[in-house]
Amino acid sequence: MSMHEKQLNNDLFQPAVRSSDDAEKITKESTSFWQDARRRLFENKGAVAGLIIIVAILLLAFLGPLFSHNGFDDQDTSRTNLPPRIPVLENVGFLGLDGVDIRGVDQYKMKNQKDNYYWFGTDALGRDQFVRVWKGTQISLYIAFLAAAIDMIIGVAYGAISGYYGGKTDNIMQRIIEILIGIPNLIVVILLILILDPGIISITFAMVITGWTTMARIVRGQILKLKNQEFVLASLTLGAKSSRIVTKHMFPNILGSIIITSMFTIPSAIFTEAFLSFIGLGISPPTASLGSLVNEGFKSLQIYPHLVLYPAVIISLIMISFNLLGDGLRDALDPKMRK
Amino acid sequence: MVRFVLKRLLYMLITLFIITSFTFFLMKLLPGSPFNNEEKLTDQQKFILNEKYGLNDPVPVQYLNYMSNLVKGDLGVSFQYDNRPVSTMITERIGPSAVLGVEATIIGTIIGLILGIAAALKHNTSIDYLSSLFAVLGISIPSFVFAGVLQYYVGVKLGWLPVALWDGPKYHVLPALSLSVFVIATVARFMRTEMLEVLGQDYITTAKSKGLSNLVVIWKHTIRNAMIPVVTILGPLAINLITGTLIIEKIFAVPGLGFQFVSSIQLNDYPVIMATTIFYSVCFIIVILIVDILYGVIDPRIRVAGGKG
Repeated sequence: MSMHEKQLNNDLFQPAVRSSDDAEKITKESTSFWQDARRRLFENKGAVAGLIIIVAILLLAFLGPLFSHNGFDDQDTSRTNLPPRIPVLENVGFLGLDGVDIRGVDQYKMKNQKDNYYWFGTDALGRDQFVRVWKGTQISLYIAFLAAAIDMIIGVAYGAISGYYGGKTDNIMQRIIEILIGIPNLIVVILLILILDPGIISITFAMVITGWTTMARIVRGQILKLKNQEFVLASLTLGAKSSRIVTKHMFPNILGSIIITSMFTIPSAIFTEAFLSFIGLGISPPTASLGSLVNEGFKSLQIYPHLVLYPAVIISLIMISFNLLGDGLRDALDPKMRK
Repeated sequence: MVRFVLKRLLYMLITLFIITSFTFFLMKLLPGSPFNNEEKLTDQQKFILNEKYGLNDPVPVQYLNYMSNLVKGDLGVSFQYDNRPVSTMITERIGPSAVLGVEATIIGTIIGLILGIAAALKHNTSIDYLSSLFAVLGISIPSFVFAGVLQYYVGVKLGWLPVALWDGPKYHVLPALSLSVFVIATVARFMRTEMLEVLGQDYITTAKSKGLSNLVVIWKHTIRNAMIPVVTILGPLAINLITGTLIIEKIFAVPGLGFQFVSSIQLNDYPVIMATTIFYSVCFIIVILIVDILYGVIDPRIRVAGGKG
C-alpha cells in the first residue's frame, strides 16, 4: 500500500470537466425488462440445464421412434422380456446394458436375437420398449402443450374478466370456479372416460374443463391488485377505455405471473396424466403413456426392473426440468426477487 | 369478519348443492347397470331390482328422493356390497386414509420446516444447495416412482419393512414416507423463501442491533413471522394428499377410501361413487374456505370478500 502512495502525486490528477449536458447522459445502454429477465434466466444454471433437457427430450420423443424399425405396438413373442442392450456400451460391464438379465442369462443369445439391439429392452409382449417410451413421452409433451394453451387462453381471459369487472360478475364467476375446484378432477375425468371412449380425448376434455382454474384465480388476484393502483387510476382519469387499460397497463404487468403460473401448471398436468394412466384410467392400451408403462412394469419389477426404470427416469426428468425452468423463470421475471 | 365468514358458509352450501346435483345427473348418463351379473338376470328380476332401489321412478323423483335422504344424512345403500349403508362403508374405509394423511402431514411438515429453516440460515452454502435440490426432486418425481423405489429397495431388496398391506405400525412407514415426500419438498421450499424474505427485513436488523441473542432473533422474530404465510400452501397440499392416497393405497394395498373409490367406479356402484365424491368435495371446499378466511385475517390487502374496488 505504501509503495503505491509514494508514486501518486497531484500532477497525475486533473479536474474533470463537467458540463450540464453530460450529467443527463446515460452511459450504459438501457436494458428492457425482458432483456434483463433473459440475462437472469441464462445465469441460472438449473434453468439452463432444465431447458437443455427439455429440448433434448423433445427431439428424442419425435426422432427416437425413427431409430427403430419397430412400431410401438409391434408384438413378437420370440423376443419377449429382453433386457436392454446398446452397441458399444454393452462392453462396459457395470452399466448392465449387455443384454444379460439379473439371473445372469444372456437373453439375446437364448432367444436367437444376437443381431438385434433393443436399447431399452422389450416388454412381455415383445414390443420394443425404446419406441414405447418415446411414444409415451410424446403424450406427456402433448399434455404439457395442451395445459399451457388452456391456461393462456381460458384461464387468462376468465381471470381478467372476473377481476376487472368485479362486483356481481366477479362473484358469479368465482362461485363457478369454486364449484369446478370443488369437484375433484379425478371424478370429472372418470365420468368423461365412462361417457366418452377412454383415451387421450377424454383426458383433453377433462383438462379443458378443470385445467385453467389456478391461472384464472391468479390473474384475477393480480388484476384486483393492479386495479386500484395509481397508474391505472391515472389512466382511467385521463379517459382510457377498458380495453386499453387491460392490454396496455395491466397485461404487461401480469405477463410475468402468467408465464410463471403456466410453467408450474405444465408439470402438474403431466403428472395428472401419468397418474391417471398409472391407476389405469388414462391412456388405454396398446397406446403407451409413461404412467401406464410404469404401471405395467411394476408387475414384473423384481425380475425385469428395466421395464420400470426407463419410463420412470424419463417422467422424472421431464418433471424436474420443467420445475427447474419454472423456478428460473420465476426468479427472472418476478421483480420482487430483483436485487 | 363474521359477516364475511357467514357469507362464505352460505356460498359453500350452494356450491355443495350444485355439486351433488351435477354429480347425480352425470351419474345417470353413465352406461351400464349397477347390478352384478346383469346378463344372467331375467327382465322380471331386473324390474324387481330396479323397483326395489327406486330406479324405475322418473329421474326427477329419484333426484328428489336422493336429495331429501342426503339432507337427513342417509347416503343410501351400496348396490354391490349386500345393501350395506354407504355411510358405514365410508366411515370404515376413511380410517387408514386419514391415518396415512395425518402421518404424512406430520412427517412432512416437521422435516420440511427443518430443511427450509436450515437452508435459509445457511443461505448459499452446501446445506442450502442440498436442501433445494431435495425440494426440487421431491416436487418433481411422481409419488408412484418414489413409492416404487422405496418398495423395491427397502421392501424387496433389503427386506427391512413389509412390502404392502396394512397390519400394524410397521406397515405404515413406507406408504406414509412416500406420501410425505411432496409435503417435505413443498414446505421446505416455501419456508426457505419466506425465511429469506423475513431475514432481509429491517426489524431483524433492529432486533440484532438491540443485542438479542441469535437464537431469540431466529426463533421469535424470524421463524414465527415466516410461518404465517405457510397457510397459503395448505390448500394445494390437502388436494395433493387426497389424490396421493389413491396411488399410494393402490401400490401398498392399503384398504382406504381411495382404493374403494376406484373400485366402485369400475362396478358402477352409484351410491358409493356419489357419496365419495360428495365427501371429497366437502373436504376440498372446507380447506378452500379455511384458507380464504386465513388469507383475509393475515393480509387485509387481499380480502377475498368482494372484489368490488
